[in-house]
Amino acid sequence: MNRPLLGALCAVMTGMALTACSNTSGMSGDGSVLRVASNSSEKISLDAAVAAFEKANPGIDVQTTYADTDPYLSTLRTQLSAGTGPDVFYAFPGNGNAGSIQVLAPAGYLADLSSRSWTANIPDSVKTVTQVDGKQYVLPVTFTGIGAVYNKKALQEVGVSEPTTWSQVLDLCDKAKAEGGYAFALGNQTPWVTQLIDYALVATLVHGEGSTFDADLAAGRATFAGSGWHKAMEQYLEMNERGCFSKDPLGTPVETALKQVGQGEAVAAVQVLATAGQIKDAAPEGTEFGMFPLPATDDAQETRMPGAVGASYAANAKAANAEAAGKFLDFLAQPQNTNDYAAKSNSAPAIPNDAFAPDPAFKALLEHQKAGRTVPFMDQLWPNPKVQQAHLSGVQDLFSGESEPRDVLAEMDEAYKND
Amino acid sequence: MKRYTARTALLEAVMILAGLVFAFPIYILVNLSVRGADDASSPVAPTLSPTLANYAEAWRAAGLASALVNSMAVTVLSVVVIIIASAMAAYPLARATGRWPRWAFLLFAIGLLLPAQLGMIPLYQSMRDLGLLGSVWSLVLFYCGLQIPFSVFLYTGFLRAVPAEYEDAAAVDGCGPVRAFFSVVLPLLRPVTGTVAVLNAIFIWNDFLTPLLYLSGSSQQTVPVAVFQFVGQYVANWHLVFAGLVISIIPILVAYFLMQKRIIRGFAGGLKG
Amino acid sequence: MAHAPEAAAVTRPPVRPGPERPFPRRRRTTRYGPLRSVSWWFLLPALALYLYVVLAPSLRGAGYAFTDWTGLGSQVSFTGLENFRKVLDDPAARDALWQTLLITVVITVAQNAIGLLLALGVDSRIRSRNLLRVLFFAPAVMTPVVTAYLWRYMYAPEGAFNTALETLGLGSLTQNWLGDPDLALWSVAAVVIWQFSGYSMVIFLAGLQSVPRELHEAAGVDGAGSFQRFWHITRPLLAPATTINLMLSMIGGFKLFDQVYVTTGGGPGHATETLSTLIYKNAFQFDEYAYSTALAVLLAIVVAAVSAGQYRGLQRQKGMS
Repeated sequence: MNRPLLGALCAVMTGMALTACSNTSGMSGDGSVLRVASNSSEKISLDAAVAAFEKANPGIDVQTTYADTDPYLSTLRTQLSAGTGPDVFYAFPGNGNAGSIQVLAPAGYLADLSSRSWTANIPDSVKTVTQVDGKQYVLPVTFTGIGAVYNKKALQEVGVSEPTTWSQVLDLCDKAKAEGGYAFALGNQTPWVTQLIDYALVATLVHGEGSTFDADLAAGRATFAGSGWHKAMEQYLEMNERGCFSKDPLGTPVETALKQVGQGEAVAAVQVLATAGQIKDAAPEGTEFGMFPLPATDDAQETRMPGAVGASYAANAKAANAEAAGKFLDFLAQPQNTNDYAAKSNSAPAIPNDAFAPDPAFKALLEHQKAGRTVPFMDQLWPNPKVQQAHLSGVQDLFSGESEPRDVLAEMDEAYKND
Repeated sequence: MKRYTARTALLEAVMILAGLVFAFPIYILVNLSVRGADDASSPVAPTLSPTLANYAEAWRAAGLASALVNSMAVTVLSVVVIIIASAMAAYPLARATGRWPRWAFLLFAIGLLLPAQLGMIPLYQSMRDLGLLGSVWSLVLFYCGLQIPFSVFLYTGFLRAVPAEYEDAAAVDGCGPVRAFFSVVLPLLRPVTGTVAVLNAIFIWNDFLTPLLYLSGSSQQTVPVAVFQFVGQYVANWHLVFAGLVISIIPILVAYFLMQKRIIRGFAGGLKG
Repeated sequence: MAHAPEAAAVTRPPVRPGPERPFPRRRRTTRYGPLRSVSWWFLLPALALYLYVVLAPSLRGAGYAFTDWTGLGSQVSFTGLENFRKVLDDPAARDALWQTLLITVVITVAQNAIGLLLALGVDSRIRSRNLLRVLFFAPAVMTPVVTAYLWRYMYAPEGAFNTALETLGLGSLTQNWLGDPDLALWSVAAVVIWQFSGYSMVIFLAGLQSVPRELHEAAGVDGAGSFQRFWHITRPLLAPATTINLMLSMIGGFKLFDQVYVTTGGGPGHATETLSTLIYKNAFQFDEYAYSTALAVLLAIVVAAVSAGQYRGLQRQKGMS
């Protein structure tokens, strides 16, 4: 072996020895290490919370792992099934996702948190998606919504105000187009983005005042095909034909769409509000943003907004460090810490408290939440992950002209029943 | 054909054009990574006032320093073990007589065909039982096993093409098989070893899902994992993300530049047959 | 650049005849010469690692294909061939299989054709040959998730490709690269071809070292006359390089995952869904782990069948030339 290679090898071996030393605790149930796993999108908020927690509990060393949703799910599931899961982890509220509590709790992986003091403060609407069979399995931290996040300057240039009716939405589209821009950036190449506008529209079209759609669907008394979902998809396509969207939504990945709003090439993007931070990241210093719920009808009073529990943390039923896991969740549940977390992720606290001062740009969400004018994200109540998958690829097929709304809805019905 | 003719010039022009096409994505990557946040000019236009600020920010935010050490350790250790084990295996596979070497070779060849997903969960459980999770040793063990079929394949092919007279001579001189291997066969394999080392290093350095799974929950990570955690966080901030991506591939690119002559030579040796 | 293996550096001991072995055995001859006593135990370290890390876990994993395990929990029951029956009935699996075959063929053919042309081009007297060799291989060392991410950016409607085309005055050629279901699979294939043509080039380049210089250089530059020479002289000599290249690119094509998953995630709709992405989705998103292993077993069988066929074909060709 030649000299430089040998030198490199020696250097690496030294490095190995050093890292090996710093990792004496390994994965064992050492009382001082708490392992926490979450989604990359939560990194800023959770890192801050962890730092505060470590400061308050000097004896505990928190090790965090982050990954995007897909790799996150695959590692989490593999680890849970092998009994090596993290002590505290991000779990998805409700059902309809391979990492949701309705999937994880029955398999015995989630610790029952019902006896924690903070459970008393959870509003009923939040309980439905954070409990399984009456037991509390996650700490809901943030409440987020789906609305149109817009660039204030861009909206001003188009010369209209926040639309409150469907006609005004179309009007915004026409005027933005006349100005040489786009009303809405849309990154439908990224599968999860495709569902957002449908959700925003069905909140009003399907889940309006006194709707029993979810219960009817579950009982087999209703189907997607015969519901307001059809109208929602038609309106979604109408927006597309009218030129509401940025060029070639199907070829546009989410990061490009977010950037278009940040830079003002598009006025708005219908998005989960938590992504507003990423839009701001892509914007020049000092750009201001606002949010409006996407109207679906011409009666502004009917408009509802999808609003649901976002970040939620579960404790592992077989946590190596159960005591610290409980401590961490209790810490996160304190109003001050919840508020800090929520503020950093552009959302509201899931367990409301008066101390929370919302970003004025997003106060519409809090108003809707208080007035009970939000409806849960639709997939949180679906019985299996395949319904959502059918929806996501179905919308892409709609945009490529390969499918009609009724085909897509039939596939969703099929997936729903196939549980 | 020894002179630089008009034809050669034409070929040169065509090849340079092809080179430009190949370089285009790399140009975009580097060009955007040195761009300031508010430079909104076309991605194709050269950046007029390049800055390294993105690199500094990416380096800090992604915590790449320790990831680089881990990646290097895993890569070097795995490659060393792979080389020794595969070269040893290739020796009887290329030289021994009878039917069994053929079957053994086929057994290794199966490893090339198996989709990684098949053994993922059972292997994870084995690593758990060995107590290796969270340490870079789990990765070393994993890559050593995973890359054996490919390396044995290359070594065996190479050794078959090399005449056996040196070992015969050594045997005649009273060399046992162990000494014959280390003093004759291993030196003979040197050219192809460069190839085996580089190709395995590229694969190991770049792997993403395995280190994410095996190291998650520990304070350690490898470069691709660190970088993608960072990409997930700053999705829309292209310039920063691209700087992170460039940092992540620099070590392997440098290694390649230093060794590129050797790689081609190694292949050449293996393909004489 | 004609390299003899560095074997020449090893001092060659005189080859003497003689039965000096302490325990003379019955002499057999192989095509390499007389029998050498090479012990099977040289295989042990490699075999142990391979069995422990690859073969045993894969077999255990394949066992799930005969159950209904979701991927979580301890509830498992044996369901026999149910999952395989489901695979045969599943239109998604059929489409994925077809798309996997298509992208594999496209990648294998294009990557090797381009790789060969590049190899012929840089194995000449051109002055930029050393620089170009480095450049063409550079994409092959980059992390596949990184290159896929970069290309996803460049493929966007107002991304680098369309902008570059417009700058060059070729605005009519701009495309909806990843959004058009008829084009997406080709766009994804292009990422792989760009990344790995240099890999094929290096292997062909090595093979070319065994061809007499004047012959293939002429073949690389000339018109019809030298094409004949290429076909009859260079090509047969490149057979070993071709075999390795075809095998590697084909297996890589069948197992392709990162590039598809990062660029399109299998979409739009299911236009770029391959067996690998479908396996991943079933295992970790649909709660259908057992079914995903049945798909993985199917993939292994397809790859084995195609490589065996390819290997035979190449052997036969070799026999003829």
